[in-house]
Order: sequence, then structure tokens, then C-alpha cells
Amino acid sequence: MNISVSAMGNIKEFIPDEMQLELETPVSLSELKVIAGIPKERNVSFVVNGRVQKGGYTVSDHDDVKFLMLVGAG
Amino acid sequence: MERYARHQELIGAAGQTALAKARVLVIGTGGLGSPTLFALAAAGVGTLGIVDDDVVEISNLNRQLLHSDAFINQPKTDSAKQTIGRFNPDIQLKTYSQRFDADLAEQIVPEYDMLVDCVDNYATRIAANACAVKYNKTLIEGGIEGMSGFVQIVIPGKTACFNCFGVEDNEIYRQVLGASTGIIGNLQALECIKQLTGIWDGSYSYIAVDFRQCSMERMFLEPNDDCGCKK
Ligand SMILES: [Zn+2]
Repeated sequence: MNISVSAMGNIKEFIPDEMQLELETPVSLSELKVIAGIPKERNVSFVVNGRVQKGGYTVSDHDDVKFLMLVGAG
Repeated sequence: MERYARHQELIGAAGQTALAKARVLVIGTGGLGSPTLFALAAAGVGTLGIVDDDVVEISNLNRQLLHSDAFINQPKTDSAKQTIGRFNPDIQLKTYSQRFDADLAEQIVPEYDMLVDCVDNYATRIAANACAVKYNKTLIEGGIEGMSGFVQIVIPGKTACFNCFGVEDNEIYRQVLGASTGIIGNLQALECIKQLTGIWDGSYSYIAVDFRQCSMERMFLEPNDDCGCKK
């Protein structure tokens, strides 16, 4: 399956430009994060086709996945 | 009024009246809450509620412009009330020197039109989001860590809320430049003013700011189907 992957904010450090990933098997967003090159310990949130999803969501063919940074200080 | 003359053409007389009638609860008076409160008071928001259970510490003063050396060890709400009261005496100020939790929310949130979340931890962000959803109030969320920040416009049932992400009480990196908190706090105030005056065009609900690259991006976030905020 083909998945489009991109990032916003400081997650662009790992995914500077939108890229296409070809996956053999369905994976969760948490797994996709690591496949896309984002360190496991880095806090991110997930948006699929414009809708917010949690890490357990399984990606489907042609999904457009965006990784957002998660920051909490003030 | 002459005080507001320099933004009158931007928001109109109806916009100024809307601001004067508005009641906004600002949670936190730190790095984000300081610029947010200054900007909302400057714009003429009629009533500002101010929540903070902290006292002023010397390490706050690299970014928390409401406070100063004279208020070290004093409640931040006292410092905020005096500073904002001097800055714009026309604004009604109500202070709550308590931690923002479900009990306090139940007592005070119903009397406000909008919430602005300027806290420094995930637990209070989650609590503020839950009461925004419960009481159907628009929430302007904001956060910062290091050289990155975000602003999120939460309109329950319309845009994604903070709980849609499934955030848990994560570790926070607390290094931050005061100039950066100024940008995020002012952006929160700006989005609050846009909501109150009807200027928001509805095309985005999340803004990511990368201070190192000096970039700002935005997108509309649809709510998570499994989140309780989706009606
Ligand atoms: Zn939600």
C-alpha cells in the first residue's frame, strides 16, 4: 500500500518534505512514525486525511498522514 | 473610544462592543498567560478571569512579563491583577488563586464565553479541554517547548479538541525563550479576539510555529471519530 507522509513544525527535522512510503503490510500510526524516521521517544500527534487519530489507528492504502509536534510547556 | 481607535477599522463598532461584552477565562499567568492577558486587556475584552495557583519566582522573570521582582513569593494572581488593572482600568478582573481542576471549573466556567489555556503541563491542559467540551465553550489552546510552539482552536463538535490526540501526561522540556512565549501568547490572544469579533474564517484550527526556522503553518483538524467531543 502507498502512504503519503508529511510533518509540521519541528517534526520537519525528520520529514522535511512530503514523501511516499510503500508498505507491505498494514501498520499502526505509532509504528509508521518509526518507519518514517521519527525517534520513538519523540512525542507527536497524528492526523490522517485531515482528521485527528490516535497511535493505534491502522493506516490504509492512499492515507495522507501528517505528524504534528506535541509540546506542553507555557 | 479613543483607547481603541487604532484597531477600530479592523473590527468595527460591533466588534468592539462584542469585545466589551465578552467574558474570557485565562488559565495560567506565566509565559503564555502574560502576553495573552496584556493583549486581551489592550483590545478591550470586558471581563477577564485569571486562574493561577503559583507564586512568583525569580526564574519566571525571563518570560512572564506580568510579574516583577517586587512580587517575588506573592501570588501570581495578585501580581497579574495589579499589572493589568493599571494597564487598562476599564477591564473587570476576577482572580482565582487556585489550581484549575474539575471542581473549580464547575464553579466558574459556565460564567465565561471562552477559555484560553496558557498552562505549563499536560494534566491541566487535559482538564481545561474536558471542561471546554463539557460546557461547550471555545478554547484557545497554546503550548511551547524549546524552539517550537502551537496554537489550537477548539470549538467542541466542530474542530478537533486536545483529547482527540489521546495525549497522556508526557515529560515536558522546559527550556524556553521569553520572546517565543510572547509570540504564542499573543497568537492565542489574536485567535481569541478573532473568535469574539467574527473575523476567524474557519479554514484552520491548528497553527504550528517553528522559531528556529522562523516558519508558521496551519491546518484544519477534524475531530477524532472516537473522541467524546464529536457530537
Ligand atoms: Zn476531541
